[in-house]
Amino acid sequence: MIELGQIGLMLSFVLSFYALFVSLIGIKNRSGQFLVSSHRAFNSSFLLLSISIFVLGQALVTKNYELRYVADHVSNNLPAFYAFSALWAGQAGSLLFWAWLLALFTIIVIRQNRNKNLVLMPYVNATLAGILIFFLFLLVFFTNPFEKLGFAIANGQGLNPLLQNPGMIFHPPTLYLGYVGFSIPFAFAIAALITRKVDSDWITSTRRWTLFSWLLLTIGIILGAKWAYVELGWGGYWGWDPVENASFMPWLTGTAFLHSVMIQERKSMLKIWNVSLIIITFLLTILGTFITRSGIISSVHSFGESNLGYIFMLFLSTSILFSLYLILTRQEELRSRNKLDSFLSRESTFLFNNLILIGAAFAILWGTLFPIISEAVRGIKITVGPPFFNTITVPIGIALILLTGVCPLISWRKASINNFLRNFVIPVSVFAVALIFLFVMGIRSIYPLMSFALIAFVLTTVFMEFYRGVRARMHYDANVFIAFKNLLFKFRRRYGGFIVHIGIMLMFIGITGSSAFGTEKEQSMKKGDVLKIKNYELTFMGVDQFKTANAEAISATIKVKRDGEDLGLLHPSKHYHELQKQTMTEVAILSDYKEDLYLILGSVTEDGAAFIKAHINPLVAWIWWGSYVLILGTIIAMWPYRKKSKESQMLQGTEKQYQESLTYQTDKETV
Amino acid sequence: MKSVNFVLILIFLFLPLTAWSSTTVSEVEKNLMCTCGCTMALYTCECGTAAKMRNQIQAMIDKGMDKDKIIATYVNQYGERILSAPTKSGFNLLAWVLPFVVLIVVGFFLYKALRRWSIDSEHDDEEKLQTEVEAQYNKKLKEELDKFEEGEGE
Repeated sequence: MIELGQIGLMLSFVLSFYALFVSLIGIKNRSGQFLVSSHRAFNSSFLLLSISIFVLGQALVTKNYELRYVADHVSNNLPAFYAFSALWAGQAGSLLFWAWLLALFTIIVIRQNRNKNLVLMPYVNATLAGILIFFLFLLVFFTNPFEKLGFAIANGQGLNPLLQNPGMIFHPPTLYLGYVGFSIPFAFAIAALITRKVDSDWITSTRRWTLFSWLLLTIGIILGAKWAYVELGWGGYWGWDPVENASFMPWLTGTAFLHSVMIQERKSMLKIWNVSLIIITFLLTILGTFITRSGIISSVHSFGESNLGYIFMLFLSTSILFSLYLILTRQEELRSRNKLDSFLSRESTFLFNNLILIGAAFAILWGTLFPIISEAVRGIKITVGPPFFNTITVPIGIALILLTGVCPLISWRKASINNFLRNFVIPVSVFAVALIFLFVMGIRSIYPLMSFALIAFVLTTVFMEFYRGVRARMHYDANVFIAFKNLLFKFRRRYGGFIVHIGIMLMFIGITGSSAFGTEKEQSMKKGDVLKIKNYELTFMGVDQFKTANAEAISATIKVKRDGEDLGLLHPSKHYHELQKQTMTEVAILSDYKEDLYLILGSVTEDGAAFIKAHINPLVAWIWWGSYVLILGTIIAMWPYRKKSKESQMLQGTEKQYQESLTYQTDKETV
Repeated sequence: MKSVNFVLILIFLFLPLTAWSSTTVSEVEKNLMCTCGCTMALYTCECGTAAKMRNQIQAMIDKGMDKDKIIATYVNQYGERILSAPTKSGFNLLAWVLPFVVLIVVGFFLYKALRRWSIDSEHDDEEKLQTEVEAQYNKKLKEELDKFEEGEGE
């Protein structure tokens, strides 16, 4: 059975080469037959990789220690679902999963484009085959998941206790789905550059892929934050670890891309910028993988030092040079012949929004790589941790909130001064009222003050958009609800996008609240002792010891009262995993819309006394609620039109006309 | 003038803000990394080494040492790597300054580029050019009229 997995991997590697080879011959000879043959090779490659992944998954669940990978990542007492999640917990397994996803996405893209993008598709095939070959090369020659252990063992090393959390079952695969998904728009961008067809076709063809990848990357990042919050036990959700940064950077550039493509679709401008952005996004996903696999930058997520880093570096360098060559030799086609109608236009604000997003990505990249730069220049390796990133990114984040609010207020093409002033009156008034209100309520720090007031500004602009849209639709629809439903579902790209903005603002509320107003207190407690923090009274009731499936646990019981009201018992605990000789902190959280009470059990003495650390993290729940809204908005924005393509295009055309009519209507009203 | 305003706005937006605080374990630990090799900032680490370090810090605070002295003690022992962020001096200053410098410089060039790409600024340019041509024409006309008047006077 195990041999089947190994054979599947090897044959898949050979078939990927074949797919690349026949794609290139097909391109050279302009022969459809070769391309059909490459499609079949991709199908077979996917099938073989599916067999390999099934074999590895089965070996993990059945604890077949014949394989080194299984022996290193599972143990006898590990529950089956965690054993299966070990598929992506280790280096070789996660790379196999990556290759399988890439093969899956490739055959979906081929199927989607059977009768369209006929000029681009051979090059898309070749690019995707090139990426697949790289990952299979790593698996076959450097980190083979089917390597045999060579001797018999009774029990495996077990899964890292940190990864034994439900969130960890979904966090890595969603991140990988996002990372791998960006290969598709990247392949189309490369195909567009090679064929010199750099108009908006490649963007339109990959819009849903980009949104899908962005959504999955977003979910992956949020799941990672949630996991860090409940599992790492330090009271926060984002530690600016290099690997966290590595997932955040392509998210930022991907977000910039999602905005700037609108200008290319409308004005046929920024071709070079959009092509560069998606190339950078893809390269950042590879850079993230390089950081995780190389061990060159210290990280809690790293898979340990290995020689994979150099191969990733080689792939990264080759991709950069090839992309640069293509961009430099296609400058004439990429040059825009159009102009902006006005400096005061939504197009301009989108570009400033891009500047901020790319600036944030650069700042994070700079901070992540600075330890290496410092070591190269001064010979001293330093650490760049949370204080640096918080200082650098907070003002950039505030500028981003500001632009999120400003963009929808300025018309596409050209905003008249009257229109500009009229649109700003209500949001700016809300901003000013919020600022005064927050100041009166006692908030004096400039960052939270600005952040909350600007969030109010942005939410007002979004609600105004919905209000104006519903009011315009009331001419056609029976009542407000139908108007709202039709507005949302007929113009889903636009209004889905606004819902995403609402989600992001809700998340910013949580981020601002928890970063600026968190409090903590720690105390050594004996039975009956009370720890007072803000309006909470925490009574220590004692500790209990018990066994779980794979750990010895000690748990404290804390009675919680808020303003005298009994809120029940909380049980922060510590789990000792004998196999890995690791102690894990399991926090207890009491959450509502206002704040989280977050309890950590520290050391426990023989007489039953315990060291308890309590955090009050205001507004954290808003981060998770915001993320649900964001996911909903993205799904609405990417939901396909059910009508046939022509009608769908007409609908999209109608949407554009409708948006322009809205702008016109507002201008007219102003006049 | 507009360009200057734009740069000033950007500078205002990105000005780092500082806050005063008293010495607590919590404040000191935010500046240090855990020494167990976990690569986590001390305040985010819950391992045994982190707990020992916190006790050490508390002991130093009890002795009357302030935040800077405690941090300096750790730097003497472990080197600069124990700090959770680069110092704001020498080469390390580059880490803090460069992102904002890049943002401001690129922002300035983007502003210039947008003005150049905009049709309305093209009209402005045309008007400016027209005004310049008109001014030259008027000047020449005035000179010739003056000459003419002088000639008549003779």
